[in-house]
Amino acid sequence: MKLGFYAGRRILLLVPVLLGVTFITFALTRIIPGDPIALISGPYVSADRKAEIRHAYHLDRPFYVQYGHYVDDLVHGNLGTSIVSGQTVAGELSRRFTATFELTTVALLFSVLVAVPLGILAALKRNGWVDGVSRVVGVAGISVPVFWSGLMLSFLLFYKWKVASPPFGRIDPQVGAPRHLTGFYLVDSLLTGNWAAFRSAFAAIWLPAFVLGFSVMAPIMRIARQGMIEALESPPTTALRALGAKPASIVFRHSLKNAMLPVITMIAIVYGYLLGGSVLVETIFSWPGMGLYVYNSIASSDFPAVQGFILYATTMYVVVFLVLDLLYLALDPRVKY
Amino acid sequence: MSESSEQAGWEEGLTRRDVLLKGVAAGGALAVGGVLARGAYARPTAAWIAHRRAASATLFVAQNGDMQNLDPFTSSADTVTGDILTNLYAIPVTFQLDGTRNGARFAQSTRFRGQIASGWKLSKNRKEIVFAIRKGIKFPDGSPIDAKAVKLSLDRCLDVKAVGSFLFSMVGLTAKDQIDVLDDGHLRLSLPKPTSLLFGNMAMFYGSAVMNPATVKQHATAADPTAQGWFKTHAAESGPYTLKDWNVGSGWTLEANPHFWEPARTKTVQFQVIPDAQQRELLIRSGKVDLALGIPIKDVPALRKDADLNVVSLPTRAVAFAGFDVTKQPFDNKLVRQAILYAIPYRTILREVLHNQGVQLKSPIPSGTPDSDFHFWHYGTDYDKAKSLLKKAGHPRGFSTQLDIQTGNTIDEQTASWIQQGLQKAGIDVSINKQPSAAFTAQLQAKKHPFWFSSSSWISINNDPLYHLYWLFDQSCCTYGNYLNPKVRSLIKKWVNAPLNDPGRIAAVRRAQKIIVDDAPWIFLFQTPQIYVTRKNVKGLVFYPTDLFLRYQYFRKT
Repeated sequence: MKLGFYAGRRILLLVPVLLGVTFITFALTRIIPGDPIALISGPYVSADRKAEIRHAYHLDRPFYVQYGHYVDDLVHGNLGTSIVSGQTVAGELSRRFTATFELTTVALLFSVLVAVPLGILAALKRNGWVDGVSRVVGVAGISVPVFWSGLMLSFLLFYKWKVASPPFGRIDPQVGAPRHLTGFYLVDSLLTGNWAAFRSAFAAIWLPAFVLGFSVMAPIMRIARQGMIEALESPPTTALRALGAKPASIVFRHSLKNAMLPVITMIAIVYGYLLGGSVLVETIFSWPGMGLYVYNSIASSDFPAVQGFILYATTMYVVVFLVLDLLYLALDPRVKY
Repeated sequence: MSESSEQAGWEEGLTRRDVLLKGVAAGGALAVGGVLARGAYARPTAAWIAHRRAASATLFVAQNGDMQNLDPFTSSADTVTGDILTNLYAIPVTFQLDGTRNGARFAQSTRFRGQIASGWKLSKNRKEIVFAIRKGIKFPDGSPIDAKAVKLSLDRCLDVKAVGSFLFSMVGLTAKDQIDVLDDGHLRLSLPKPTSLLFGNMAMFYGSAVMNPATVKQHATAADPTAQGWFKTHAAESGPYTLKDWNVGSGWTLEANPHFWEPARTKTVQFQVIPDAQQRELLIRSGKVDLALGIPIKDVPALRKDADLNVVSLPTRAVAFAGFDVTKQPFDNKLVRQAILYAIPYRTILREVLHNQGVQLKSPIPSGTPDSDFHFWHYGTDYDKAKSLLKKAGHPRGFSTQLDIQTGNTIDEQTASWIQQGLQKAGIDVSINKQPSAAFTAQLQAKKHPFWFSSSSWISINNDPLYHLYWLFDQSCCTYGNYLNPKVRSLIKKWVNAPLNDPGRIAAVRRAQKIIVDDAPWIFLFQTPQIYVTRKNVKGLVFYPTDLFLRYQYFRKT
């Protein structure tokens, strides 16, 4: 019950945070030079007509009136309509969020499954060959730009060796998206038993997920290694050793839990960062996610889209860190709320 | 001129001049032609049925971006959406088809044929034009396309007051009562004065797309009587294709309109949004798509080596120029502007930026437009001359300035850098200022850039030299550099509506070019090429030099 109360209070605290964020975003998008109406109406349209369009979007009103309209719409669950595309921002965000969320989750899953064991092994055999390999992998992940690795892998695996599927985005257009349940193609195709769609969605996601996961592997691996070293060198572990505990038990029963705490923090940070969408990976693999959408929206001063995105990204961060704190509760007996 | 050959017959047609001169005489013949055409289409011929059967294949297209606002009258002129709107909507008159050059079939840019209209007739005073609407044609839902439907669409265009209505206002069509329905099959436009610009201004979806009035009515609301909100993401088609589905961000599918009267050779066209150019190239090279759009110029030589591809690089009339604000120092001094024109490495830019694919622009009117004349060009790369002109202008040690460009366009960035290097040699220090597109465009339309460059700044959709000069040197909207020469403006005003072949008009166009080239309000740079890459088995690419959009109905896979 206490946990429920705690989580509820954290969610309530979200309201002032988000209100602050909407205000800052709103102010920033208006300060940055750029007129979306000039862009969408084109050169032929007269100044009078442009003024009319500007009026329709309330863009001719004072800043605080515009902000009032915006918050009023928000309270009614209306994120507005993109000035450039005419699509509702809420619709675009939910569509693109599922795309980015699916890619990010698979990427992170891969990254964690590889990075954490490698980090732990490296800590156990410090300066051994595993440590060396993990260091090389880490440095490569951080220093090879994804636009290069993405294009090279696409060229080799799709074009030359024909083992990856073409960069058509989330699924082969010939197969078509599975019936919409959650919006996550892998999940939806499994739930509906649509194997063709599952195969196609999996074939589409593994390469971008690998490229994205590889790029964030280094920090997770380093933290896992560091955490494990610290845990192994801590006084309780020394005591355990003195008492004659078996090495496996020391590592898995006692040290792992302690080593995992900073790793989980790092995973949460990386996750929150990736959920904003990776412009480069999404562009290279035609992934219809957040990254490219936001990039284009900023370039065209599409205010409602940019505001909607920042609101979404903030919420995501707060939610991810809430989940992180709850995980801490489960893992760390010292933490009590 | 009979309109009986409906599909891509490569007919030789009339020029606008011919239309104006012979319009009256042709009227009767047209009526007969219309009757014949109707007969042919009421009973499908064997050839027509064969076409239908062959049109079963799907054409896969890799496009570089998603569609935006789908309302033809308020569309923002982005190329992806324009390409699709051209295929979704039929218009009263379109361009005739021409011969084959450089590996592509060409459409005319100054000769017209009916699409929704089966013909037209001009009154004696050339102020009234009556369109005969093709008999028996229908929207995809089976309702008739008649004179009333065409009028409702033109009315809607005037109501929404966007691009189309401004094109109409240029020819004097400003009020709905100038558009009369005579009967189901005839529509009359009444203009205040004769004009040669009418068809050119009408031959695009911007003002002339015929929309299904039932759909417009269904989605109109009290707050939005023209249903602009709904049409941002939906269509009311009348053209060769209907929009079957749109998976926003990923792609969309066009399906041949079963009621369209010209047979489509490709039944389904599937578009995939592939934002990365390298990936579009891999897709076309691997055969996963049949057509790739938005291919960078620099990759053309490499793609040409691929035996499975057909790489078409065609000259366009798009004028790429760097503009000066001639009211701001130091660009208010003609000698300074001329000095700069002598300090540009034109050949290097053509070679390094355009990979020898483009045409050097030597006049405000691009080659390909009637009466374009490059003979008045007297500049060239001559740094000593540039320096001496600068000295004469009172800048013996040069000066510093800033060149504004948009972010994210490789051609613009490279060209700007060559301009910078050239001017450096003449003693002018240029810093390049990259701006996001919305900021750049807003400043451009407010005429606040002192010195700017954009390779995609202008293509005139009516291939008329005075139409071109009107927008860039006379009309308030687009004189971005505030260059308003009274002599040029009076020439434009006097001759803009005159027939194209009038000797007085031709002389005026030449005169205006001479003045503008000498005044140097721009750095005249180049005409960008248009590039299409298809698989070898894809036939039927037709190049429309006016709008550069594709007509998918002509494509077929062998």
